[in-house]
Amino acid sequence: MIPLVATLAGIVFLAGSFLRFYLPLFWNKLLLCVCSFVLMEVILKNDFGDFSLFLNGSFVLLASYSFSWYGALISVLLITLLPYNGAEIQWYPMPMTVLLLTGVVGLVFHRQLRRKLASETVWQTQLYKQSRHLSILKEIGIAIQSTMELGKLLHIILTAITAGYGLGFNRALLFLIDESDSRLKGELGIGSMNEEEGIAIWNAVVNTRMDLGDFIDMKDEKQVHDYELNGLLRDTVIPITSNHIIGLAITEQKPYIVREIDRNDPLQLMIAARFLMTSFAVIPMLNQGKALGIIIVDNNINHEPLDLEEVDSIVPLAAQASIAIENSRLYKRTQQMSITDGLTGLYNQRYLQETLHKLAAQADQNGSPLGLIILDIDFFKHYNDTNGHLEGNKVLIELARIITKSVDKLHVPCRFGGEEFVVLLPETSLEGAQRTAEQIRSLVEQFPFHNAQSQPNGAVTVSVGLASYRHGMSIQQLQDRADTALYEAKRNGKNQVIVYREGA
Amino acid sequence: MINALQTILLLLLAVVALLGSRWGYLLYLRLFTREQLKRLDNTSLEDLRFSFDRMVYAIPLPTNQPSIVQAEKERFRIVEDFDSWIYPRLNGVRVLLKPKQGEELLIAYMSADQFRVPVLDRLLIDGSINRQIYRRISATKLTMLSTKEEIIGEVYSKIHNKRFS
Repeated sequence: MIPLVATLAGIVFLAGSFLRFYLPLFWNKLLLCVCSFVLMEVILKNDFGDFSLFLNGSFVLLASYSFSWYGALISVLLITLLPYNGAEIQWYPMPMTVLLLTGVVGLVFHRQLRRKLASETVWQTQLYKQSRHLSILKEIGIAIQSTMELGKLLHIILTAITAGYGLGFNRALLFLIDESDSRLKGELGIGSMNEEEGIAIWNAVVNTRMDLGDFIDMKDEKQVHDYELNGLLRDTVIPITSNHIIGLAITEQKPYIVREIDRNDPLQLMIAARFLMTSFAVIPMLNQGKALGIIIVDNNINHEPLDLEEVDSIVPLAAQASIAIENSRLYKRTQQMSITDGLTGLYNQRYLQETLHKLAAQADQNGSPLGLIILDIDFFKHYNDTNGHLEGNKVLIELARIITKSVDKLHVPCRFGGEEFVVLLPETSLEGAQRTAEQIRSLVEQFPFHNAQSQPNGAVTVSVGLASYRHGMSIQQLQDRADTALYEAKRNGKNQVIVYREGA
Repeated sequence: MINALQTILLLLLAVVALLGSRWGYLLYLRLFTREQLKRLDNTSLEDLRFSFDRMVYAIPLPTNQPSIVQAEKERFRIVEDFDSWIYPRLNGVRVLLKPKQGEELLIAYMSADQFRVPVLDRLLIDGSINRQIYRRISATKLTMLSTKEEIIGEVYSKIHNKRFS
């Protein structure tokens, strides 16, 4: 039969061993040590000789492991002062030495554990953080390569900064420096304007198990969510001067954190009021030392303080983004150059042929009208011979302007080659096309070109041929018809518009 | 005789209680979480949705290593990472893979500090819970069998994700 005291001691020990987890670490340790001491004392009530030393030693080990040398000292004192521990321990050198040595062993364990926790926790945390940043960069690097479209690029960059799977900032706003190089213009923002919306989106993301790649793919849907933010952002223009934090970030080429809004800085006040920010960080976007824009981040949902280390993690992303943006712009410029005429800025022959094919197919499909104007400068060789080719080029440039001014947005003005121009007029009736052609002819005739009076007909003029597309016709036929009409206009004395009419 | 038996039983109890600290801690986490969830939102632990977003991979992704790509899902296992035996605290969970040949590999790590649960995020913002409670509840969720299975599923699908490969 186990005595009641022993049973009670067992229950107290078990209860204490479990309940200690409800307490903070210090009290947790203390409770375990107290329970262990009670248990030990109950056991030692029956004299076990040398076994007592083993039990006492175990207790000292636990106490010193838990409380360092305080634990070792107090436990040894308790053991020697309390009556149940047997006279053989009290102040005899051998047992005392064993207890003290046990205390030292416990102390070593305690120190080792503390050192392990301190060092391993720090480097593991750092390592995991770096590893995460690296994998985000890698994924974003691959995603960025998948597109040359600027809008899509910006979306990918901001997604990496804000998405749960990304760097985890609540909100990011991207501004690009405009052509004047003197101001920043809001381009794209990702994030919510209020906590409720932010949490709702976060819930939806978790429920649908979306990852960074899914975020990147959902560009259009996401933008609908952030409609309010993007509306505000696109109306925001920030002049670049060195007397505010954004100017500083650009000129000094490093990130800045605004932890508290400076009431004396109008720009900070404007940003705080417009985007409901209480603190934010500015990260410059740099490519080969040249600033392309900035990214502003904040944590408006969870109000986590902005940490410079986390903000620094955006820098390589911003650099990668800047290269991608520059490449995208170069690509766009090259693409534009490949379809435009260098002198006049109108579309070139290649673009004309491509577009004509598309428009003819569209007209066939929809049954919509399609007109084609071809015009040629009268006596242009004479003008060049009289005034020189530079003046001739000026006429071509001015004529391109007149054509551009005379047509609608839907119309496609092109330089066909030499002094010949073509305008494609989709969704335009023959009468409408004729009005446009006549307007161009008339404006050219009235324009005060240099030394125009030296032309054989006393002015710089154009002859215009016009044809309209018929279902099933080839585009070559359409061009031939307009060309025939142009020759007719030339034959009839120039400076006139002739419409090709079947059977005429 | 009785004294000896009594001593042996009490000693056995002490050893079991100390060595079983991790189970005691996990039991405490479970009870604490149930109590908190009942108080807060009446949500069950099983219904809490969580995010894998802070999971860190110890292998390059996408990977083409045959021992990883060809490994069956059953070869993945999760091991809890505690910082001490007697005073345990869950640091996170490790996803390990035992390939057909060679040593067991660390594939991914989910830190308990970084384990995010949107419902708790809302409660934290509301001020209904503090960070300590958040951590305890999320650690409990992290140690659930269903969560471990989902984490293995996520790791397995990431390894076989062909999006960028």
